[in-house]
Amino acid sequence: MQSCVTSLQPIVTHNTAILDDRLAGNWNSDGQDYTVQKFHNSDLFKELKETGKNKDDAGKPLSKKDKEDSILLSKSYIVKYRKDTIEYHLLGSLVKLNGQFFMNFMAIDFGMNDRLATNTIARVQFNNSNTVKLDFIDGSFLYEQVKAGRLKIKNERDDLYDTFLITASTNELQQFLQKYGSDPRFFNKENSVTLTRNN
Amino acid sequence: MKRKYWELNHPLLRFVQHLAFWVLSFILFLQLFKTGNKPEKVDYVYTALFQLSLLPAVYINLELLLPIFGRRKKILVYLVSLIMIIVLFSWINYNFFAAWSTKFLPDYFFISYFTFKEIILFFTVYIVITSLLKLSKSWFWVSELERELLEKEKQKTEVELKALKAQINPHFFFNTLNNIYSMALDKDERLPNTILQLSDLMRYFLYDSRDNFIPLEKELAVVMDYIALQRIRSDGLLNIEVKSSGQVNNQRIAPLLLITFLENAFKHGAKGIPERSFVAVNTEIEKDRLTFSVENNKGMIDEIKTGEQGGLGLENIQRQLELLYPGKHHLTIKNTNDNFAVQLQLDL
Repeated sequence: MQSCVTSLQPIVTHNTAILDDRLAGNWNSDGQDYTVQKFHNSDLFKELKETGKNKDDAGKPLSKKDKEDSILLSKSYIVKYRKDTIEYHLLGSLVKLNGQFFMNFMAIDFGMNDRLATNTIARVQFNNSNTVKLDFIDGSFLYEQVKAGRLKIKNERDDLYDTFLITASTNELQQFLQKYGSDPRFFNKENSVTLTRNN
Repeated sequence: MKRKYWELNHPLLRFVQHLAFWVLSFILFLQLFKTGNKPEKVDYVYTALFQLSLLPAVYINLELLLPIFGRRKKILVYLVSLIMIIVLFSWINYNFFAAWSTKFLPDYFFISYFTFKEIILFFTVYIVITSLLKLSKSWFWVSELERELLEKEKQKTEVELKALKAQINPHFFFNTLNNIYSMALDKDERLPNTILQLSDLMRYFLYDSRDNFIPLEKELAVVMDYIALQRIRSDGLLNIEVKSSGQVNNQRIAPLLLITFLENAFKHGAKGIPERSFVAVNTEIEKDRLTFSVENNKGMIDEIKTGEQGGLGLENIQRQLELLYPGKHHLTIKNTNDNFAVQLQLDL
């Protein structure tokens, strides 16, 4: 059974994404190091900029969707961490709903364009300038509610592998978080990560 | 009819009709609101709650706003009140699903899947549909009541007509029998023939005049019989002038109308000075229009009275004309010192 919920749509749009200076920096949790950088300051952005210079479409006018994506990226973070010699990159976008911060994480898989990108959602709590707590939404709880017919949200279920994917729109996801963002049943201690800033 | 109206308004039937409407509405909503291919428990709960929020708005409109403002024809006040009700209950609906439901149903998780504007549209459509249903039902009742009223009016007219005819017949026979009595006293040899003609007239009064309308030909034949009867009776002392023009085809007329005018003319004409007594009858037929004129001299002590027993009974005739020929007749009465003239124009 899955521990974190996955969603087809992000909870953040280009006009609701926000930046918070408290997020950037080097963090550690249970011996694992994480680097959080604003997208435009990130190493990834620099790499992409270098590789994109010689592309054919460089300098061409952007479509509306590209412009919106560009705005969203400019208000997003790159979360970088290394595990078993492999470096992982996540695109993190912050949104404030009903007084609470939520982060949308999307894995960046280079060279795997054929895979459908999904999103993971976590509540962000700034305890102090050196500690950030991420409470990932409990996928098991949501899946149980969906199976019991108590949760009304668009989804795709695979009961054979006990997995499900939320297919609700961004607007609906935001409404759910506005309403249930403080409900402790939606978050599990096992799915919580506390990041401590590295000095 | 009363039974039908009562049946339609029976509280149980009304309840069943409303229940059927809401059940149908629930099924439609459920299909519209369901998340997956088949509705889940939460879909039933959500649909029921959504529909529940529609109920007060719909019934406030149907039971309060429409009857109060509709009857007083205060359309503007009605519309303003209706908009306020729609906005209020749409706001309650939106906030219930967006926030308040956690307090009442903590184990069911849903949000408001529609924007405030969309909910207002839902409410408006429902208010319009239910209002139209109520108005069409009311229209049906009103038309049924109108039909019932017309039926009653028709029955009343028929009863009244029968009563009027019943007043004419004795009036006529009373006068004719008086005449026959006079002829019997005089041992008049024309008496058997007169009785025979009276017999024909009685047949006409008793049987043929039961219908509201009879062929004009028959009524005119009776008129002629009657004049012949009176001619015999007057023994040449009364100057009787009969004129007729036009073609009788298939026109129909209310029975006894013309006879009544004649009866009165002969009754009063005969009271005058013998040499100067006269009755003039003129019948003109032009397509479907009949003009019937009767003029007679007045007796020395005649005072024409209407509506009095033994008098002319013109009120009786006028009422019959109103009932049988509304807007299709014109009755002119000229009452001078010496003569009395009646002209009736009828659209047959």
